[in-house]
Formats: sequence, C-alpha cells, structure tokens
Amino acid sequence: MTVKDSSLLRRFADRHGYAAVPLGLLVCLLALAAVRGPHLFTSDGAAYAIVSAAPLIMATMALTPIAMAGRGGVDLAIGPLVGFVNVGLVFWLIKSGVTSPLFIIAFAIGVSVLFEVVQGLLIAGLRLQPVIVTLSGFLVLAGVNLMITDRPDGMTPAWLTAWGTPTSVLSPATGVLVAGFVMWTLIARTSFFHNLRVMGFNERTAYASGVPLVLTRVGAHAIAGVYAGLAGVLYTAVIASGDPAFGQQYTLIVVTALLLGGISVGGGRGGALGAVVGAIDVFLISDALATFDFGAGASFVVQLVYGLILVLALAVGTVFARSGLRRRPRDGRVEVLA
Amino acid sequence: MDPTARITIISPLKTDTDDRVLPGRLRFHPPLPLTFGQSASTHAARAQKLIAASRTLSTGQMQAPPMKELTLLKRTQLALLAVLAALVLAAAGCAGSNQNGAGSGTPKSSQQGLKSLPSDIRAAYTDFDGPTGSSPFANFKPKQSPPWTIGYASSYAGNTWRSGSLNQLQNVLVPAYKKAGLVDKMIVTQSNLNDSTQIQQIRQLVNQGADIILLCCSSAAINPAVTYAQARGVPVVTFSGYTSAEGSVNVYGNYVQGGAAMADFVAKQMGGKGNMLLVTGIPGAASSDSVDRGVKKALKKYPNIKLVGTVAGQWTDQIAKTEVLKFLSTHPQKIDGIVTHSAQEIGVMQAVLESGRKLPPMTIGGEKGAACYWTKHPEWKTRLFNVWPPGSEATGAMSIMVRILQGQGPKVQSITRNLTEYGIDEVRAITPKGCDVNDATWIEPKDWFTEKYLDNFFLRPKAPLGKDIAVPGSGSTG
Repeated sequence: MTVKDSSLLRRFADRHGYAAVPLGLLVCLLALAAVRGPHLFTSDGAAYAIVSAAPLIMATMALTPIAMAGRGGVDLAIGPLVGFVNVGLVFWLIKSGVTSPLFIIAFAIGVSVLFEVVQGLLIAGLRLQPVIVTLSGFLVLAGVNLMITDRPDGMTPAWLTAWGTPTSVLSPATGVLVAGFVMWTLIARTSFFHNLRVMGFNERTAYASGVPLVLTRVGAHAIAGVYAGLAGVLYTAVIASGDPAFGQQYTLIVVTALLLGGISVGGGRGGALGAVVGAIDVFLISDALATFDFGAGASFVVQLVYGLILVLALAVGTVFARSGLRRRPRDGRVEVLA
Repeated sequence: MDPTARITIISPLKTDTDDRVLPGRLRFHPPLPLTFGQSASTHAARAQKLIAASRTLSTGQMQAPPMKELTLLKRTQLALLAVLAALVLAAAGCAGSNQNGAGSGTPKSSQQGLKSLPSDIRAAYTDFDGPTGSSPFANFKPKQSPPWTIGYASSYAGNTWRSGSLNQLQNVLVPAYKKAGLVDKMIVTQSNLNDSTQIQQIRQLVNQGADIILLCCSSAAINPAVTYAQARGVPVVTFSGYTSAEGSVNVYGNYVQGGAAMADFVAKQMGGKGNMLLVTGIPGAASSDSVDRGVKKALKKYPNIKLVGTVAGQWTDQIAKTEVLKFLSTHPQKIDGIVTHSAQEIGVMQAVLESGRKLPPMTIGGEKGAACYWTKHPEWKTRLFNVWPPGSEATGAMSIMVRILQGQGPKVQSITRNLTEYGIDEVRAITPKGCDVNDATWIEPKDWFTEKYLDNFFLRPKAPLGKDIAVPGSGSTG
C-alpha cells in the first residue's frame, strides 16, 4: 500500500474508518427495527424519528470538536446547556412576545457560543482541567435553569411547534440537520480543522508545529456552541415547552452517543459522520427496546444495554484499530491518524 | 487535498522524535499567531522556519510540510458558508412571517367543564392547578371493541411510589379487567426521566396499536406526544400529575390543597411560631412544585413562622436522610416543625433522630415505617396525610381508562379529589403490632377514586366491573 493509492473507497476508509463499528451497529439496529417496529419505515414514522433524534444528533456533533481537541475534553455541561437554551427561549424570549425565528435561532446560537467560548477560554487560557470547568458549567447551568422556572411550563410559537410535528421526512428539522452536516464538511476542509486534529493528538507537537493552541481550542468550543444552540432549538420544538429539569440525564446520553460514534475523547479522532451515526444508534437502541415489555425494569434494561453495547463497540473498535496499524505501515511510518 | 499529505507534519514528530523536537530553545519560541485574517504566506513562512529549526535537531528523514496544508479558509468555502447561513436564516424568516403567535399547548381556561359537575364535587377544585376545561372525549368512540390494549409510558421506576403503582396495575388491576374481558394486555415502557424518550415511546405505543395511553406524573413537555395520540384517535390518561394538552384526562388528588393542609397542621402544632424545615421532592417536577405552592400559601397565614430551609429529598428515603442530616449539621438552631413530601419521611425521621434531636411536629405520608414508629411513640405530634397514594391513584386511572373506552364520556379534563388524613386511631387499626419502622411500602386511604365518586365525572356513568377493586394496604376490602 503506498501513499499514492487514493481511490475513492480508500480515501473514505482513511477518513471515516473510525466509524466502521458504529456503522455496522447501525445496520444491525435498523434490521432489528424492521422486525420489531416496522412503523419506523413509514413516512410518518421516519419523519417523527428524525425529529426525535435531531436534538441528540446536534448535541453529539457539538461535543465532537471538543473531544477532538484532546486533553480528555468532554463537555459535561452539554445537557444543561441545551436545557438552558430551551428554558431561555421559552421563558425569556417567547414569553415576552419575541417569536421571530430569526431572533430565536440567533439567541440560541448566541448564548451557547458565548457560554462555550467562556469555557474554552478557561480551559485554554488559564489551563484549567476541562473536566473541572465543564462540571462547574454543568452545575451552574442546572441551577440557573431552575432559577428561570421551577416547573415545566410555557409554550412555543406556531412555527416552532410545527417543527416538532412534521408531516413528511423533508421537515425543517431535516433541513437543520443537513445544514449542520454541510457546515461541518466545510469546516473539516479548513486548516483550522487540521490544526484541531493535530492538537488533539499531541499538544506539544502541535505547538512546535506552529498551531495556535488557545485560538484552536476556543474555536472548537465556539463551533460546539453553534451546534448546542441548534440542539436547543430542535429540543424546544420537540417538547413545545420549557423544562428546567431537563439536561442532567441528557449529558450522559450525549456522551454515550459520542463514544458509540467512535469519537475518541483522547483527542484527534472523530468527525460528524461518527457523531451522527452514534446518536442514531443510541436513538434506535432505546427505540427497539421500547417494543419489548420489560415492566418496571425497562429503564434499567435500556441503561444496561447502552453500557454493554458501548463496551463492546469500543472493544471491537480497538481491535480493528490495532490490526489496522499493523497492516498498513506507510513509508516506514506508522499511520497515526484515522 | 490528499488526506495522507496532511499528516506528514505530525507523524514523524510524534512517532520518531516526540521529545527531541521540543528542546528548551524551541519550547520558548512564541506561538505562531495564526489568525483567519493573516495572510497565508506569512504564516506558512514562519511555520516553515520553525519546522526547519526542529528538523535540524531531530534525526532527519523528515519532509518539509506541503505548503497547501497551511492555507487558511479558502474564499470559496467562506462564500459557501455565508450562503448557507443566509439560506437558513431566510428559511427561518419565511416561516416566521407566515405564522407568528402562540401555538399549541395552551391550557383551556374555560370553566365549562367544571360547571357540569355537582357542586359538592366542585369544592375539590379549590386551588387546583390542572386544566379544567370540558373534555374532548365526551363523545369518544374506540376504534375497536374490547378487550383493549393499554400502553403505559412510565417515566421512572426507581422509588417505592413507582413500584407501588406499577405493582397495583400489573398484579391487581390488569388481571381483574382481563377476567372481565375488558383489557387484553398492558405494554409498559420506561423513559428514566427523559422527556424526549418518553415522547418517542408514547408515539411508539400509539403506532403499536394501543387503544389508550396511560402516563404517570407528566410535565408540559409531553404535550406534543399527547396531541399526536389524540390526532390518531388514542386518548391519554395521566395519573398523579397533569399535562396541559387538551387530549389528556388527568387523574390526581388536589396537591396544592394537600400541601396547604400539611403546612397548616405543622404550623398549628408549632403554636404559630418558630423555625420550619420543608423537605421537598424533585425541584422542577410539577407535582412536587404543586405541593410546595400549597405549603407557601398556607404559611402566609403564619407570619411568625420562619421557613429556615428547603431541602430536596427527591422522594427517596436515602437522599432525604442525607440532605436533612446535612442541613441539621449546618443549622444548629432549633427546628420546631418539619413538612415533608411523602415517600421520604422515614429518611427524614432517621436523620432527625440520628442527629440527636427530638422529633419536632412533622407530617408523614404513606410509608408504613413512619406510621409504625408513630404507633410506638404516640406522643409524637404528627399526622398521616394521603396526598398521592400510588395504588389508589392507579386504580382510579384504570377505571377511568376503561370508562373512556366504553364511551361513557368524561365531562372535564381533570378529575381530582380532596386529600384524606389518618389520625392515630386509624393508623393503629391498620398497623399490626409487629410492624417494621423501616418498611417503605405504602399505606393507602380507605376510599380514593371509588367507582361511585368517579360516576360524577361521566355523562353516561356505569362502573366497569360493577364494584370497587381493593387496594392492598388500605385496610378496606372494597
């Protein structure tokens, strides 16, 4: 195998090889869904499935650049942040009569980018541990959400409610997903993104190679903020109200999706494909399990299965990665990316 | 861009000479100020210099980085991004200009539904916080004949309350209605307090052919799923909580009144003055908040009572115990009274006793252990309040579901009742001598949503089984 071998398939495998396991899992889950809940494959079922999974997909994409930036960066605050966008939209903007989509989307993206940039500056500028910063962010936002409102309530403007009740697969939520994906592929072509990956693999080497560490890390957080804001808007559309208690459990689900998507929290490895597939996997697991009647134990069965599949997926992924390393030495150098 | 070219900057540095390329001289080299505004060539030149320097220090065999790798965001890509952003905003703008204003999810403010109820029943609705419009299922006809399938979208299963209600549903109610040929089966899903999962599960239950959906302890977030079910001819019954959506019939006690009665009792026992502690449930959960509203409302009458603290016991004994212990150890002043939600009073009780204090006037709810302690220490100023008995509320919900499917026509969106209280004599009557002070199973009220009481809420009433079903723990045989 030489460097010059760059057939389309080869390039795809190089770039997205990390997502092989989640993609395989996706195929299995779709087959299971076809047997257990065929309604998923009707126009109505698919439309609702997309809308239901959309916030999770966006939130997982938000975590991706932060995870890729390395230093064990998993943004624990993601759940409460999406929740904050949700209650902020419903109880500040919509309650005071602001219902224009322009303002609502701008507000959602604005506040979450601001929050993420502050987190990024604390992590990169002051060199605080990411886990400490994001855990603080988690606690602060969870508290702020309950200060904004102490019970789930409120309503959404008609256009946003309509987003949550799609009539076909080509709904606004699908549009937002596609836009998010396109935005990612564009970002992935910039040198900023290359810097991000280099930094994720080895910060010292990146520094020596001229990568501006602070700027790149804050940039990763800013991108995460955009996706978190969109996740907040989509989640608000799904529940058509504001829920302050939402968010605490959500972080766990998003992190599960991230890991299931093959994205390494060690940094460097990952991408939008993995995030999307991981999120859909998580959605389909809970979807498939809901068709079985486990009675009182159902929620624990779901968590148990998440855990088992996660460990299994990581194990299989690691075995693949090892054999890949042995098989494809390049010009005497070990392939460390992908 | 060839993906393999990209890595040439890093691979050799990382794999061959990771430590050697970062000698002291380089470590203190100022970082390259790579910004989007800077011209590519300047940056590339500086990077080249740095890497050349590092190369001289390493063992060689290194390639110069391809220049194109360091080019900044291309103009075409920037333009594409801008166009994309503009498109999203424009699409959003269009959607908004067409239809602004509030959408679904408005609770029906009409009092029409309440007016159709007998006046003595209407009294139970004082301070009630659920929707009280007329029900859209007054003329509902089911899609199929009995036996029907029930979908139960439960949101949590991790405490004694949830297991109490599920146990009553699965082991008592479903078999009884099955025997009568009214119910075929009940499918249970659990969402572990995740609203979006519960929404998805409700839709799935509808799609799987459930004739009616049962929800527990829901919030406004579930409204879209209730509307989804209603649009497909599937009514939703919510017990121990409410949704403000029109398509749900809500069945629960008047929790605001319950909270007020509990606070009133403790305040009176305190002599109208002193320090009070409130042990609440889950902040943000609607029924938890309803009780707290009642407590705060009642306390307005007692200006000399100071609410010195509110801790969240999460309706779980272990958490309540930890939280109250924490509170007591940081608040040395005397606590003259405690109001606590139920399904955590054993924990509160243990915390007070373990801290070496005397049990102040306090409320208890359905946990048998607390009632047991009371029968052994009758001097304790307490009272048992039935606010949300799990088995009884589930029993009421089951009857209401079958009545709706039978086309009996519910009159109002929410069905409620006053709370009941047990004094020491009633508690003694249902508590055996050899009781256990740690028993966390539930005491149920004698009568809660009886068939006779429920008849008041239907246009064409008829008890589905012709009799009441006994609730274990209530001491009544039904």
